[in-house]
Amino acid sequence: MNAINLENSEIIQGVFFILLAFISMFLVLILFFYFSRKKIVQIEVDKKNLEIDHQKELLNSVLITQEEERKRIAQDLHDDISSKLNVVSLNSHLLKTPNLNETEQLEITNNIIELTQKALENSRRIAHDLLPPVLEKFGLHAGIEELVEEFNSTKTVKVSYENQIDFESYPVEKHLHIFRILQELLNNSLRHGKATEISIQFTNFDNRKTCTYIDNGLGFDSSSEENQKGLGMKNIESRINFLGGDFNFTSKPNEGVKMVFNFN
Amino acid sequence: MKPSTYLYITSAILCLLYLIGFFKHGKAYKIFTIYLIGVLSIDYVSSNLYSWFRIYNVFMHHFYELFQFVILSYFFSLLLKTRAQLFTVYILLIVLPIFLLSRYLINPNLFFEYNLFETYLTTMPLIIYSSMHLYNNLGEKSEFYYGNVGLLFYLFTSTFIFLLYRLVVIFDIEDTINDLMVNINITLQYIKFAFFFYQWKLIYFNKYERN
Repeated sequence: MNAINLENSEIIQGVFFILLAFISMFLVLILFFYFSRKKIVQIEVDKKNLEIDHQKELLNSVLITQEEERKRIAQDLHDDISSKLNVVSLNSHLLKTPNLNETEQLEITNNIIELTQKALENSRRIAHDLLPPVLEKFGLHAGIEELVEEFNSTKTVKVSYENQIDFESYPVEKHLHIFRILQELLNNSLRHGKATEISIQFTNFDNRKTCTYIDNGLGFDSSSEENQKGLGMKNIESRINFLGGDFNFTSKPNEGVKMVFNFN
Repeated sequence: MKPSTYLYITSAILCLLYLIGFFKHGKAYKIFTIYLIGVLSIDYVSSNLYSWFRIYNVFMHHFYELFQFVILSYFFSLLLKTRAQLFTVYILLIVLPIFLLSRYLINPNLFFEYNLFETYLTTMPLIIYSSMHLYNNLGEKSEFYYGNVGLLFYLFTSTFIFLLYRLVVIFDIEDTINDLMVNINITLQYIKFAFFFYQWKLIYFNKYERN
């Protein structure tokens, strides 16, 4: 009898511990999933916050660039046009003075003609800088060709340009973004990179439009945080964002710069 | 050769592989290596005790559980991060062995019996630590990820095997079931070793991952 009782109690004990083990493991699982879900949501929120911060930064850089551009235009207008028109106005007043002889009159009129011509030329140049007319009239391809020609004509740099994309079917409002990106890249290569050779290539593969930009300039360490925060780069990034594409930028000291971006 | 012999050979190869980088790697790696060697030697000794000295190996099982608990607790204390987790690990690491050892001092006969309570007490905390480690590294690269998954898998399944084994003994069920459970245990160990091999490969071939 005693032996049976002992065996019974052992069985009960065995079953009890198996049940206990099941229950505790179930609890561990439930707790694990509960906390994991919480943590995953937190990670997602953090990620979204980071994205929002990044967007804010981009927006901020757009605003700053806009202000700087305004400042530059204001300065151009002031220096190249207002000052000239000022002198023209002075000269015109001089014409009013009585007893001017013919040579004096001729000199003043010549002055006025010369100055108005210069002012006209400057205003044309400023307008051209703001928005190249060729871009509007003949499209992006011609616009880039003109841009490349302008750079080539400085003789300090040799820019090659190849294009496989038919930009005519591409929305016109996006032309300007690509143009500005290339303008910024070319300016950077020349100003900071002291590049002597630059290649721009547009390819269309599987309906994925890609631009590859390579220069042989000084380059910089693109992995360092500091170098990624330039206003120019931020602008390029926000324009690429706007085009619905992404980009890959690599550069090492003395190995030039390589930028590949695609757009839809 | 018996299936268990192959298992010892696999286990020994694993130990040797882990020993290769023993001094190059961090503390957690060293403790893990010691754990593997310890488990191998306890397993080997306990399975041969009967043929050597005609002694039954029940008491070796206590050694095995206590050794596993202490060394893996230490191992997880190196991997876990938050204060609360570490606090739990340290407290249990002190309290539990004292509690178990004092039980044997009071009643030495317990040492020669299967003890389900002990099995439960020594493996459950390890399962919890292992889950904590998984939780800590959700969504990021984890130290000893595959090693930990292997441990968790084996702790989970082997606990049931040990508990069930006890019932099999009590009910005095035929030997076929007994053999079946031994074979299941061997299979589970192979799966565990597969995880450990993969973990070793990751550490050995990735110089940047210092564990």
